[in-house]
Amino acid sequence: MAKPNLALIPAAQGTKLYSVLPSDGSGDFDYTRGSSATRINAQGLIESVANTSSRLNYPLLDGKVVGCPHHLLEPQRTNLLTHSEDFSGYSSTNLNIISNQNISPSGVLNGTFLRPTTTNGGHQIYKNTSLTAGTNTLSVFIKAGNYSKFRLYFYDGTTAHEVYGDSLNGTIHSTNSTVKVESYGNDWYRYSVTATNASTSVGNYTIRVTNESYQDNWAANGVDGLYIFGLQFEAGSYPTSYIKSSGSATTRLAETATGSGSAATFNDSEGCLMAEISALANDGTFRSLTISDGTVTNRVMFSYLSTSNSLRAYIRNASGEVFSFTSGVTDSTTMVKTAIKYKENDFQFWVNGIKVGTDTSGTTFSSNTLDNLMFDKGDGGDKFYGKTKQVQYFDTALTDTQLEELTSWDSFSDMAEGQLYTIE
Amino acid sequence: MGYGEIYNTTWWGNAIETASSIGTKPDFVSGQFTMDVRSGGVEAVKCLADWTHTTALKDLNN
Repeated sequence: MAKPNLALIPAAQGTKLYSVLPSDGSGDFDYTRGSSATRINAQGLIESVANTSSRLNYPLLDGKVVGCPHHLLEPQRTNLLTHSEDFSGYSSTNLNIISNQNISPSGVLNGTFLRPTTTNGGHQIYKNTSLTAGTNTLSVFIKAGNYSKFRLYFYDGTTAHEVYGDSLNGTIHSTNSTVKVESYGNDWYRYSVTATNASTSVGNYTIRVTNESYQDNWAANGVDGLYIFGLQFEAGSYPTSYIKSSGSATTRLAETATGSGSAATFNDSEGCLMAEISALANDGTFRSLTISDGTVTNRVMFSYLSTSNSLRAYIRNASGEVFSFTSGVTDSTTMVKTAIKYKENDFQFWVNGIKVGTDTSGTTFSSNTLDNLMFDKGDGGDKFYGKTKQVQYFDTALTDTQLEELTSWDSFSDMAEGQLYTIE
Repeated sequence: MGYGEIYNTTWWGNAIETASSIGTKPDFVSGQFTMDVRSGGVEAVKCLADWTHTTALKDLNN
């Protein structure tokens, strides 16, 4: 295998995305995010990351960190709930709200205990709100106590967009919405409900503790309950990383990563771009990783497409489109190893060790054209929001054997771990 | 002590182990070192070391 000219291997966070090669730092990406954010740290805990610092985010499988971190790049989102951890100001019915009763997913004793009373009726914590019509996502971390079943919803005056679940094992009982459940370890699960709601001035966000049969109205024993942490309501079709709020709606600004390499890094006549990446969701947008000249005229690009589970390799030069091939992937949120090879009359697209697209005609680029690797489509548009486990650039056209090796997993267990599958 | 067993201890432990196995590929070793300096400290030491080690050996045998 040839040595890559440029290699981004996520291992440090700071004001750049740091590339291990070239060793002079010319492969580092300029990184921006004008607000704080959170990540999953090496211990599997939610941790705040300072303004302008890139994020190393560790993958969780069944609540435990597995394997190496990735860089996480996300769009702007706002937690519209003004208090995500302090629930003392929320309204309740037939329910006691007791702060700081359990170690939360942030590793701090700030999980809140919800204890339903002996009154026969609904047992809920809620916040009345107005809602703007659109697609929104409500999420919360829940941990079972001696009660574990719950109903989580946001109400738009007509419909409760909801999930009934069991926080003992992270399961879904029933729902009328898109629901995602993630295990955060120590028996915490993050449940999210995504739905398109109507506009209303009489809406609410609600968590109800239900009985064992998922009935809303019942009489509890007045002693037992369950725990919650990190309530978040955001505009968007999928949940993003936790945004802490304490007194006002809080925004995590969008992230950018650009400016890696120079004309000296990239070969205009032949080369290979390899990436191990995943999308955050199938959200109907384009998300790109590109070598370009700062425009969309000359570029070598990977893109997740607006069509679900579609990954495209695309090459264009001053003469027009040279190579465009789209491959279906099983799940765009699962890591893929992919590569593009470009050389005059020899263009290829590889995904997970398979050569999925070729073109044997076409030209490449004029000298000193390609000078910049960036997490967008070349001109700042179609920013890549996703997870990146590695990016490598080679200034030679690698052989099929080399590309197969580069885009393959080293072993079955390596593949399972990389794609966060459980082997049973 | 075999490859990979000391990477989690210290950055220097990682660098020494990696350098001893891929000493003829100084770019890989200096890449780790300069990245550590530029970033103010590599966090995922073993991940970087494993990639460097594996990739450098492949290059060495190329």
